[in-house]
Amino acid sequence: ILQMLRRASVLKEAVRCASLREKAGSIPASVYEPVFHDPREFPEHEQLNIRMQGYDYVPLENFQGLVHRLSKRFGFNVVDSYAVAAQTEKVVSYRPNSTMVDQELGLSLYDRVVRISDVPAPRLQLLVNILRAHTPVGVKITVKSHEKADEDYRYIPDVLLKQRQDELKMLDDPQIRKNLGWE
Amino acid sequence: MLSLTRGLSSLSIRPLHLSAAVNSSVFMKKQKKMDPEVAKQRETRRRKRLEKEIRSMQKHSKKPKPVDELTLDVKSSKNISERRREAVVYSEEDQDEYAVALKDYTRSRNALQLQDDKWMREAIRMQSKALDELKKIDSELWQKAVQPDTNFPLISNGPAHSPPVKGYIAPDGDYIDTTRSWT
Repeated sequence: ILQMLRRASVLKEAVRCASLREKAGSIPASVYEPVFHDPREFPEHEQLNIRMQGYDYVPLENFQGLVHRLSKRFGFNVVDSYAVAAQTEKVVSYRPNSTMVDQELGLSLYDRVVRISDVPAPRLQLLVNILRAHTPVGVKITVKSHEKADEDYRYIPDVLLKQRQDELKMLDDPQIRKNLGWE
Repeated sequence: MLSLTRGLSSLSIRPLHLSAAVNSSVFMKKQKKMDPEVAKQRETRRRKRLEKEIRSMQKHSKKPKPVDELTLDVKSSKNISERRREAVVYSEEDQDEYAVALKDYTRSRNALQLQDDKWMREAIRMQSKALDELKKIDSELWQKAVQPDTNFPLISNGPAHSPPVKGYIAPDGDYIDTTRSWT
């Protein structure tokens, strides 16, 4: 009987092996869904801020235009290119060996920012090199990743809004929830 | 309070007369019992009101800090009539000279841009080639080489107008930050 069973199982296997499906192999994923191949070969940076600061805003603005153009040349996506409020300072110089004010000057440090995205990791250094070669006199470049604080720095902080948001957060405070009276 | 009274009654002494007047001293506020549903409603209403206010504020909230160099200077615009000049009339020779100079300038600027483009093309090509070769040699090293930069912020200063002046004695003075704070 064992021999009969064995022969039957061998026959079954033979029948199964003859099926076309098994000859063809498993169905590839591209049969039911098109395969979209990601053409990017290097990992990318998040959004970067190129911040330019200087005391003379004419060459600074021209440089901002250059940065924008060069980033486009490299193939990066320029998200935003804007000005931020200047930082002003008063420079007081004293006469020698006294505190008599000799000169008073008002200086403004102007701020321009270009925000780029879709930057493949190895290409950033090339952009930085060419920018350093082209930096005009007296301009300071800072390249950093974009953060919420950078975006908030552009706007006047809304005190009332902050108050309301703090009130709402306070409602979740366990101490105050006890005093509400229904928990 | 409760344990005291229990003890007393067990001793079969006449129980203490407890009333609201006895319970309260000058230092205890009368605890009004809040109906829990009312309190719950009150809290949800307050929460909804706050959220609505926050939403409406956020719509109108983002006021950008004014950039002084891009806004109209009111004083100067009012007395602009005092400062108008007539257009300068150039002679024929001057116009020709100007045209020739302009063409030379345009040519030189174009040549600089072509140099930049060439540098960028070569840099990208050489970098891609180097990374391809590295990938063939060592896959792990390639992975590390291709990771995004983490040593932000990258700060670089432009060139100085002149080399440092020999024997310069800086005057005593102060830098006072007069940046407008909006809080």
